[in-house]
Amino acid sequence: MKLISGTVLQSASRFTVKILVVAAATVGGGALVSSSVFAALTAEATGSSSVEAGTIKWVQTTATGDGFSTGITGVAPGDIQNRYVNLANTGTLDGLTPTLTIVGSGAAALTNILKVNIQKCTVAWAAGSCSGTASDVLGSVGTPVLVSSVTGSALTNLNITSASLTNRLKITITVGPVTEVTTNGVLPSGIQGATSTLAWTFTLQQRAAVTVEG
Amino acid sequence: MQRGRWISRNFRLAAVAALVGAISLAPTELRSADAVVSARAIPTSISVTAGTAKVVAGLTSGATATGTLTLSGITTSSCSASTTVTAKVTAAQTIFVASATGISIGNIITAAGGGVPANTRVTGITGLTLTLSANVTLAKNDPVAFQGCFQQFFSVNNIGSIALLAFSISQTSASASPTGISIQGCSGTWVEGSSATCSGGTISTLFTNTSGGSATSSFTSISGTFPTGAQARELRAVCDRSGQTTQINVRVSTATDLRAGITTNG
Repeated sequence: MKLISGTVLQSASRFTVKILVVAAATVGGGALVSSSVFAALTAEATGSSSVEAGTIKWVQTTATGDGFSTGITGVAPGDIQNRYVNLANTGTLDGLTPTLTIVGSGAAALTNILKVNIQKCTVAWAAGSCSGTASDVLGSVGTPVLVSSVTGSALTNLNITSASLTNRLKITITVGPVTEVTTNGVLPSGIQGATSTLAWTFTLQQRAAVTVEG
Repeated sequence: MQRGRWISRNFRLAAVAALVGAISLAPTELRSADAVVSARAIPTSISVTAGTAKVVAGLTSGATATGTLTLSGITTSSCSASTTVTAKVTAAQTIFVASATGISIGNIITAAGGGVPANTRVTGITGLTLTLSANVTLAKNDPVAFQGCFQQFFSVNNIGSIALLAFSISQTSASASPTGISIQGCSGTWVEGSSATCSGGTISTLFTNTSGGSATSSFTSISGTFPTGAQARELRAVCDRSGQTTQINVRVSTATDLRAGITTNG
């Protein structure tokens, strides 16, 4: 009986030791990882090497004439209005995937017949002409796109690297065809005399993240 | 030996437990530093306002009132002219004249030498060929006179903000007129009066509504250059009866009547 009791006690003792070992190892392992994480955070906060974030600035300014500062009035179907703006990445990070979104408000009937195309010139535009090299940024001269379809639309041929050349843009707004008949001076319900306001948002993404060894 | 196995077993348990602890406390998501940064140029907006294309008919060149114009004063006698016949005709309703200037549909034709029944009227004018309401017999070079039509002038004004290259006009006769009511234009300048003339130009009949009383003509297009805020055309309604009334309707279509598109660099 003593022998039996001694065996039982010995087994119980071994079992208890196992539990203690497991518990200690679990806590120890966790503590090991935790301490390493906190050590990393602490290093970022107080380390001697500084990390300065780059900037990405997509700046639009009026080039010549009215740009976007003055509204367009009295347009008729077939009319073309050119406005000139500059667009540049003045930040320190290269850009990626420039896009444009135009949101129309007001007279939907008018918005729906407005078309736009954008060209870039390597030199300043002069009276609608580019003496340098012109390239299409959105749509083309012969194929403008509907304003209402410009939602996150990709822009091409732009200088988007940091401190790159200014993009000299000619924004061409074309009034599409429409048939309305005015009888005895009474305007029909339609585009005539109506106003559409177009909000333009040029967006530039940052370049892809890079891994730097050093 | 037994002690060695015990140590080995517990060492494995310890290793497993350590891994469990490490995994349970390890970071489980990426830091926000991996989010993509984008820049937006300050949103700007521009308004686009469409112009208007509209004409009205009124009694004066400055009239701007919208709606149908009713001409109820077609009472002033006009249209007197004389010319000669250029070819012999015998019992025919068509004659050829040296000049059609001043001759209007509805005129009563008379011939000093006879051969023209009373109250014979001009019912059609094509160049120098006149169509009459009765058969006549005339010799070459016979003089003929025309008179007895009634007129009222009115103006079509561009009151929109878009210049026009055309507008259309229609007429509804409110009372019967056997030979219809004509709308005439002048390529020069109208000199109004009982014997109105077209100074520096010629009179042309734009259309004649011969469908009878209360009939509406189809719209007839009139071309030209019609700037904004100005009289587009001065026209004359002519018929062969005094006291007739007619309603004038004018219209503009953005599809066909506007000036050509303009490119503006602004």
